[in-house]
Parts: sequence; C-alpha cells; structure tokens
Amino acid sequence: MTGCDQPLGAATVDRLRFAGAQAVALDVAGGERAGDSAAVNEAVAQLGGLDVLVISGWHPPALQPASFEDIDDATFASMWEGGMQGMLWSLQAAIPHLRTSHGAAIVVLPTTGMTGGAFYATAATAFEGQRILMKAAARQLGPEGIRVNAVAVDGALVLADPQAADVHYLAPDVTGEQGVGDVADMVEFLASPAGRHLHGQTLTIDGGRWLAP
Amino acid sequence: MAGTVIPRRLEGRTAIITGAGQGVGLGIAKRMAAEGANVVVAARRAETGEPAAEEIRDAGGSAVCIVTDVTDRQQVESCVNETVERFGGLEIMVHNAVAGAASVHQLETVGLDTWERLSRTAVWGSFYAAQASAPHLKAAGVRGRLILITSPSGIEGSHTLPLYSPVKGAQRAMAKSLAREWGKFGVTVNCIGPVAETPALTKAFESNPALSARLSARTPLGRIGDPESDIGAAAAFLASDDASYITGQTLIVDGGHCMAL
Repeated sequence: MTGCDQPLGAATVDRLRFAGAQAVALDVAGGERAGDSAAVNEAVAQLGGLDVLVISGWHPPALQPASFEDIDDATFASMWEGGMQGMLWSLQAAIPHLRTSHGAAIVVLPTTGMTGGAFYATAATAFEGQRILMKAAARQLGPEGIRVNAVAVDGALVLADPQAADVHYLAPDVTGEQGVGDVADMVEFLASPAGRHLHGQTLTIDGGRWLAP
Repeated sequence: MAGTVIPRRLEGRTAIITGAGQGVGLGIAKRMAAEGANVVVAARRAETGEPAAEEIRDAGGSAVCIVTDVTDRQQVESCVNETVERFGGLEIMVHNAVAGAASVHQLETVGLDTWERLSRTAVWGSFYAAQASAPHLKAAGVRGRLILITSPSGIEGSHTLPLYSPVKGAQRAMAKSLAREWGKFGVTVNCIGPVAETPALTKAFESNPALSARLSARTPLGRIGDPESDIGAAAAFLASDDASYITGQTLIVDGGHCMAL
C-alpha cells in the first residue's frame, strides 16, 4: 500500500494487518519510474507474492487550498505529475505479479475529483486523473484476471480546509475514525471473493454526502 | 448544415481556440466566427493555422492566427496578451489542442514519453490556458467562458489508449473546480466531449477500416459528428448568453455513443 505516511493510509494499512493481511507500506511519493518499480518489486520479494496493490496518498500541497491563479508550475507538477506518475509506475510494476495471483488493484482517493473543489483545482485534477486511469486499467487488465477499482472517501476527511472547496453536500457530516476504518473494510471487501464481480467501479464511502451519479 | 440559419450570438466577443488549425478546433473556430466572434486561431504550426484563419476571413468572419505551443507557458501568455491588445478583451477561451493521434499502448510497458506528450498538451495546456485567460474572463464577467475539450473516454476509460483517458478525465475535474471558484464572477467553465470526423479519426479509420462501421453502428444517431455543425454549434451555445446558467458540466456531443453520467 502506498501513502502510508498519511493518516488515512496509516490507519488503513494497520486495519489490513489486523484483518490478517501481510501488508507493506510502499514509498512511491517521488513518482520516479525506476524508484517506484524497485519499491514494488522489493515489497513483493519481501511478501513472497502480491494479491492486492492499494494506491493511496497525496502530495501535501494537494491538501491545502490555493487560488488557481497562484499555483506555480512546480506546485502543479508535484501534485499532478507526482500523483499520476506515482500511480502509473507502481501499477505498472505490480501488473506481472497481479497477473500471477489474479489479484486486485485499488486506488483510494477523495470525492473531490468527482465533485470538483474551489481552491482545490489542481488536487481535483489529479484525483480524477487517477480515477479514470483506474477505469482504463480495468478495461485493459480485466481480461487477464486483474480487478481494478476505486474507493472514494469524503473530501472532508482528507482536505485541510474542506469548507474552502465550496462543495454543497446535503447529507450528514461523517468524518474522523469511522471514515478511516471504512476504507480498510472496503479494501478488504474488494480484495475478497465477495467483490469478484466488481470491476472498474468507484465505491463512494462518505455517509451519503454526495449522491451523484 | 444547408438551410440552417446561424444565430449571431457571439457578436463583438473575442475567442481563442487552441488547436484550431484543423479538426474539432477548426470547426469550433468557424462556427464561433459565423456567430460573430473575433476568432484567434491558436495553432502550433503556421502551416495549418494561417490557412484556417484565411478560410474564416474568406467566409466573412474575423480571424487571425497566432502561432502557439500550448505546452509553453510563455507562448500561451503571449497569445492571450496579443489577443487582448488586438481586440480589446477576451471573453472566450477554448482549449482544444490534443497531442496528435496517440498510438495504441499497453499500461504494462508504456513509457514516460507517451505520458508526457499527452499530459503536457491536455492538462498543462489547460492549466496555462486557464491561468493566462483568468483575469480577462473575470473582467468579462457574465460573458466570460472557459471551455475545455475533453473526450467521452475521459468518463469511460479507454482500453486502447489508457493514458489518453485520464488526461481527458482530469480536465473535467479542473473545469468543475474552476466553475466553483470563478462562479462568483459570472464566468462559466464547461467541457465538451466530442466524437467528430477529424484528421486524427480519419487516420485511425485508415489503419483500421472496420472501426468506422463499428463506431457508427454503436452510435444511436448512426453517424460521426461534424466538427463545425455539431461540435462547433455546441461550443457556440456554451459560449453564448443562452448558456449563462450552465457551469461545471460536460456536454457529450457524440450522437449518443457514451451515455454514462
């Protein structure tokens, strides 16, 4: 699992271990192809195989609100390129192993990519890019027995200032530990035989705050 | 379309259309000019951009070509500045440019070069176009329009072009976010997801003759869209006052091929 240096990832990987999984925290924050591939291969060697790759975690600037006009190229690159390439290279390295195990890849991201968020344009751009990469991966890897899905968590759980995003949620506020635990439960479900026919889907766990589509 | 009366909803407004040397971009430029807009054909190559602007002028429209590589921040900023200097403002920015016809690729082996080509044109191009035009669109208030040309594959994901679909999906999220951020100025931000007869699609049909028949067969309206009368008309609508209450949306203009939300 990537992104374990952040609260959501850390809590999720702990819960997966508690549920009996052997889980390794991957550091692919750089979005560097060779480094990310090596990290995945090292983890697989340590585990003796790979059944599930969980992609999570965001570059810290992505969580802070910023006016779109104030975003410079370096910040945009760290959020957009870092997020996308981090996912792409780690997924790429995991494909041969997941093919062998008929395993699953799961990307965890905030709902902000689907809703859009004022002052979170770059973050939303990266989150939605990752979600659609998940769908493309599902189309290409499904015939090889690799399932690919996304878990969308409430933006309020992740963003530093969710109010700034100006997303008008209608449903009750659910944040904190309950939401974090839900991610692990969903990952466990998606990786299990019970989730075998779910493919290319985005499962939103936000307590019903955002109900489209 | 023969016999159709084209409204002049964009009279006196100025529009920049990136990638307007051919295909969908040219169709949008021609239609916006026909509706009365001053059109800037922002093309990477003068060889396509100049004849496109000339064609529009010959048809009675107002158009100039400004050679612009959308992956270069300075060139996008220069294009916007030159446009404002020439026409006195900028109401409509359409980022349409795409990185040519992407070739079929496999996720397992695709390299950084393919990624960067797609990412730079679609996403960085949107970033530069939106940032450079922002002060002028805000100054235009309720006439300010940012339109990003995306793709149905940005919603559905693509089996053959897996890295093309995420850059197109990412544009939708950028548009939704900016729609929220700029709404208080009256500026609308939307996307169009077209399927149209373009040089890129023609090339794809040539290398795979069955593709044309298959695409038409899977399209409820039974034909491939026209860049000007189908896609251009949708863009002109979004740019007009008729669409001033529509923002953060993706208009899929593909004959009904993709019906996903």
